Amino acid sequence: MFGCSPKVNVVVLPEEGGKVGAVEYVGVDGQKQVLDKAYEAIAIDKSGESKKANLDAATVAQKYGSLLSAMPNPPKSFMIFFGSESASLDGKDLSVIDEAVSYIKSQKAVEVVCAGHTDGLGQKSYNRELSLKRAKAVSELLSKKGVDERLIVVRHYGCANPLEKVEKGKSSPKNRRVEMIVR
Amino acid sequence: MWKLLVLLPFFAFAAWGEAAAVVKSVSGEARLIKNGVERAAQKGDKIEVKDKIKTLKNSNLSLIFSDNTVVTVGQNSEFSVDEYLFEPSEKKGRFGGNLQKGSLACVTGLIAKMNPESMKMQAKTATMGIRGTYFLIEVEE
Repeated sequence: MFGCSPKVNVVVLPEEGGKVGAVEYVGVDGQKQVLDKAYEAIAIDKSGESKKANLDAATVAQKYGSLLSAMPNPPKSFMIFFGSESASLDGKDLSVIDEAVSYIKSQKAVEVVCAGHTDGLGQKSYNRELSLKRAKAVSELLSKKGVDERLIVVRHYGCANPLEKVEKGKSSPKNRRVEMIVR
Repeated sequence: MWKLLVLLPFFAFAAWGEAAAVVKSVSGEARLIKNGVERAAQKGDKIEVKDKIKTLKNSNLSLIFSDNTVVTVGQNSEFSVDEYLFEPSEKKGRFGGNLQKGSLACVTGLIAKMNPESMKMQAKTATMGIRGTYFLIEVEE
């Protein structure tokens, strides 16, 4: 029983597109180990002692294939933009909404966030209200187009989360938007 | 008017009951332990801080967090969320995951991008700092 103390294995993997981030581990000796190359691994025993290794794609696929193949697609965003001081979708090109709806259905989405935003023109409280109206307009249209409304979460951020940084008080068409995040 | 009354509780929930994650998929059998009560975990379940997930043999469960972090819990595993905070407007975020048993794979989201200290994963006695990446952790018994 005491002979088989648990060991922790960590492996860093390449993201889609080959990007590799980093995992850090500070050992009992205070030494920091950084894993920042694809398939770099570390084994840590119960006492905190660690040993680094370089694995390869084939070894990782063989050992962890069933875990990695269960990873779902990452969330996907769809963006629709609004006119100045408007929360209306009338007369707009709604193809992005249709695209989102078919993605929601094909992915069997479990959550759809409608996050409303404004640009920096006007009062904060006015912008919060406007961003909510925009988010609600999109969420209502999604449910009209057959998305189960229990999946939809409405969020509004006013002008606090701009897509592009602009000078304070300046208008910005890019920031007047609702982001649909499909999970 | 009738419709408004029906919708009211839903919006109240959305405002106050901020979940950390939602269950994206369950393959095989997985359990969710919430406030000491255990039941079968299902697609669409909301996961909050302190909830625990257990998977059985040949089973796995995937989670998508509010900051878009994706976690798949492998077979025969136990995973809980010790700490979770995501407030994009205030640029605040903390992620503390805890793997007691088994394995997980993770693609990080927005929290890990905030600063190098904001995301941690614990596995048994070891704690890793996560700086935005795709990785896996396994507890080998």
